[in-house]
Amino acid sequence: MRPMIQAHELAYEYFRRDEEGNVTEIKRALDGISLQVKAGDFIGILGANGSGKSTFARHLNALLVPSEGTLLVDGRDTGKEENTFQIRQTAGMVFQNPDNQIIANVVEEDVGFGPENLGVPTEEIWRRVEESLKSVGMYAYRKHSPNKLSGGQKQRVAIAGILAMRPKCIILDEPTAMLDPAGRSNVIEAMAQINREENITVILITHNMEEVVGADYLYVMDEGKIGMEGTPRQIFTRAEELERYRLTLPEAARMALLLRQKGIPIPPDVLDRQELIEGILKCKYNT
Amino acid sequence: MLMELKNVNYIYGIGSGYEKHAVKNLNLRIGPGEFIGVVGHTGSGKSTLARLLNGLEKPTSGQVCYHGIDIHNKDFDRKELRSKVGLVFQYPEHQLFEVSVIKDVEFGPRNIGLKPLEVELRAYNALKLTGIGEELIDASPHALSGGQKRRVAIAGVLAMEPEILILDEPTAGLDPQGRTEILELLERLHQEQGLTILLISHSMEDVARYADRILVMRQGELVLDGPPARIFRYEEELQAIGLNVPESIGILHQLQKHGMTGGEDCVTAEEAAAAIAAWIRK
Repeated sequence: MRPMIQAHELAYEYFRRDEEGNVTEIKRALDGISLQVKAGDFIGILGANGSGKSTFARHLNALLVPSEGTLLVDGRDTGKEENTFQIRQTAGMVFQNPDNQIIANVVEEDVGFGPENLGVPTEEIWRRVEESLKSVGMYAYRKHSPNKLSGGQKQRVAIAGILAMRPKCIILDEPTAMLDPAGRSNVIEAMAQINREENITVILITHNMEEVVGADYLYVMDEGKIGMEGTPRQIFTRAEELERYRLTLPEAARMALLLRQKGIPIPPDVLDRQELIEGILKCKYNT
Repeated sequence: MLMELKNVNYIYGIGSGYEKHAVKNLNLRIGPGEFIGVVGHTGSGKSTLARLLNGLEKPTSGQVCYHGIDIHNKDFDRKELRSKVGLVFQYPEHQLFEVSVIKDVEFGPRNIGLKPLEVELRAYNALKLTGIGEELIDASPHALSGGQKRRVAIAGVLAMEPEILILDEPTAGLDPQGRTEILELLERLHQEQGLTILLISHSMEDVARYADRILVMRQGELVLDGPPARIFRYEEELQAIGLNVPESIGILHQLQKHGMTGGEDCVTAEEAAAAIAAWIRK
């Protein structure tokens, strides 16, 4: 099967200019990124502030185009302008701030805006709006005004708006940074379900390790390069390395590490609360 | 008492059809030197509380007192109050605007008419406190990293020499280490400068480790108020309002259902791990 994302030696440079327009600095925000994402995977991208995560994300739907190297999205070269329209339909993007992404006065109109713009027939638009809102658990709010929703609800409406365009891939750039814990988990659960049930490729950029524990594969970015990659189980056993990249372990993995440091034989690859509790109970009752 | 709220109500949009009772019957005393964490879901009234405390909003009813005096008294100097009750807004780096770091931090003190030497001295001190090195003071704020920008914004508030520092989600959007750096800065300001701190956050993890007292808000009401270990006993109640105890404490609680004893006073992951290890060895 054709990979959803194929990056080969992708580099992106931009120029800083002073007030007279002279170039003061050339910054290489992405520097030789090569990776492949399988269709239907749930991918997490981690990394410190300024490591290039968002710049990479903006390449995935051709908001930015590579300075060097190539990027194929569902087989289409993002560097070719004639592909831009198709790529934006294939790969939809959800941003950090829920308040900047909603445009209509009624939830269902907001979700219908995308497909309407694509020239989808009216009847089909309404069908998609209904399905998309149901997928994110916001159907009950279809007649509501978006500005009365919580941050998490707004983000789910934004996701529904993307879903209604029938993308093959959704990119989320820190979608939960401004949300409270309930909003956070609702958004992440909605995305996991969409990935599972509709087989849409998900690329989630986040600073919150808990959100990517269930991902298929993780990339850790560092100064425009890929610093680490692997499954969550592989990545979250490398605590010291993560710390060098200004990251941390998910809480359960951190607790497991603390316990091992105290001489309790918890397996080294514990990822979530369930596994940790099983490990602890085994130590307590089976020895 | 440094600050006191007496039966404060705040309703906005009265008569507009969008009326909202943002703060309800709030009674709160803040003593000097406290480190208080305020948690609550979106729209619970946390940010309104911050704005009431430094006089940006006037209560619909009730009193906000600073050293025992109602800040909305006719002859009360609210300009002075805004120096003394320093407020760091969400994403404060969006408000950096000067050409250099030092100029940005000097803006507040200069604006209240201090002498140039005093202005400079305060700005240097504030930057030193926030750990911004000398090599950065003439840099453009826009050339700094996310965490550095945020520390410069905090320095701008510190340069006003506040008695109490109120921060609204100061770690939002930062990488894990950036979060720790900001929180440790607050801890240092609290311990070394004796600054009173009110830290508003969605994250129980963030506030648990540093605050001596946690306030939990729900729909404009103060529903829980106490030291972290006591607040964490209300795990189910917290979940019902969209909040959570820190994950390490949740793990501890679940183990207690499996027969674990001890660990009732744990607040941090380190303490929880120590309690679990002690129980396993028992």
